[in-house]
Amino acid sequence: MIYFRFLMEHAGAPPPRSICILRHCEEWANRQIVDELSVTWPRAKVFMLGDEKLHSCDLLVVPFDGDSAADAPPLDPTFCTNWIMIYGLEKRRIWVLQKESAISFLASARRFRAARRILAITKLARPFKTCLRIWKRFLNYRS
Amino acid sequence: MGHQVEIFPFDSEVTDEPGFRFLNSVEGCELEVGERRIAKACKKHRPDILLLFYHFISVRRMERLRRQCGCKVGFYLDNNHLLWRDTAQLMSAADFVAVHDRYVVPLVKGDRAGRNSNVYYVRGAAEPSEHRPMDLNEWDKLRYGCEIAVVGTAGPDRLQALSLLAEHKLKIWGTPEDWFACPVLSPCVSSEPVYGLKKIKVYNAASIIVNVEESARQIDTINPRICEVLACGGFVLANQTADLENAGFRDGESIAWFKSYEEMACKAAYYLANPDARRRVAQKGRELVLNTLTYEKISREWMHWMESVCDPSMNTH
Repeated sequence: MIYFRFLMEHAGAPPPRSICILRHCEEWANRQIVDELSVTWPRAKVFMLGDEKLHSCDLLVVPFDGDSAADAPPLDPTFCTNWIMIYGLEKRRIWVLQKESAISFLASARRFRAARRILAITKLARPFKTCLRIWKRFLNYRS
Repeated sequence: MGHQVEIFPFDSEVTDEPGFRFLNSVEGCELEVGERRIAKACKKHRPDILLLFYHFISVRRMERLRRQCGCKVGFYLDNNHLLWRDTAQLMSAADFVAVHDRYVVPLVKGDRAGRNSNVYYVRGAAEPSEHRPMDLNEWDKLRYGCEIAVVGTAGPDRLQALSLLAEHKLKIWGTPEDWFACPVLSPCVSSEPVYGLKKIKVYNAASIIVNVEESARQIDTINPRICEVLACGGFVLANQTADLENAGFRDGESIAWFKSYEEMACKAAYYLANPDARRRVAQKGRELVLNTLTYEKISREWMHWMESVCDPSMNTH
């Protein structure tokens, strides 16, 4: 499928020869992803993983509900893969990143979500907003 | 055609970044950050044409970019909110406008009062390598098969029209919350999101795909869904529009269309009872799409038109 190939090319990833998919709780989601990836890369070996130990693979697919990367499950840093596809099922929000970047991307997505909550609870959002407005005015002034 | 095309996906380049999402949620800064990144990409690639598919940048920044890069700027109008402030400003300041609805062409065209004389109508199309007939297994047939399928979000026109089809085996693929306003339809709605390969399977498995346009969004257009379904070998029942006729579609030959929702219900019943007629129409519709309405074909024409805008000496229109 064109969209997957585009995402991989845009990320700079080669076509995968082996793909592992972390099993999602919904069976339709698992079938959907296996079908899509098998059609996109017919020569690739596609494995579905549950609780067993991860194989090594070229591409690990991590499906999750919702469309915010902060909702994705935590990743095991010991698995052996080059690329990770973080796959938001709701609105097909997909990110393809190298393993280290994917881990730090998910960690910062969670951190920033926590920061948003803290700002809301502590009522610091308003002064922070004012600072950002000043910064925006400064940027506009400079340009 | 020998052009080099660089794609700048705004979501992955700007809005998906966790730090940006955080700042944007506190104090909207999409425009400021977005236009800086677009400017950076333009500086790197030095394009002849910058084609914007949304008002990602302010008019002031767009004009400056145009001066600095010496490029032409095109703006694709994706919906009919012509008078929306940013849309209206970019529309008049751009070098050309591409629209997806023929109805808005005379509203945009002109050389006075904020109009733009360079307007191009882009028809919906299909990608035959993607939208194609498929052999479905039993699981797919069970899962996606039905008499009438609808893919899309709910709106006043669709809610009114589709309730007339509830007596058939109707399956609606869209956001369930949107459809809950109509109790007759809500049991027909699937909670699964549908896109990509699954959408193609739905188009292959349903006897009829109904395409009801929301008049607030598009009026005289060819919805890409129509071409996609036909390219898959499916049968389409859609609103009659002048542009479907302009593109060569004929009711009962290559498509089935309706002018009222009552007519829609009658035609749905007729074609469900007549599978041979359905197959004949679908076959003709597929031929028409593959011959004239593929992305390769419409992009080629669009490219030629853009070339003529950039270099008027090439203008053959």
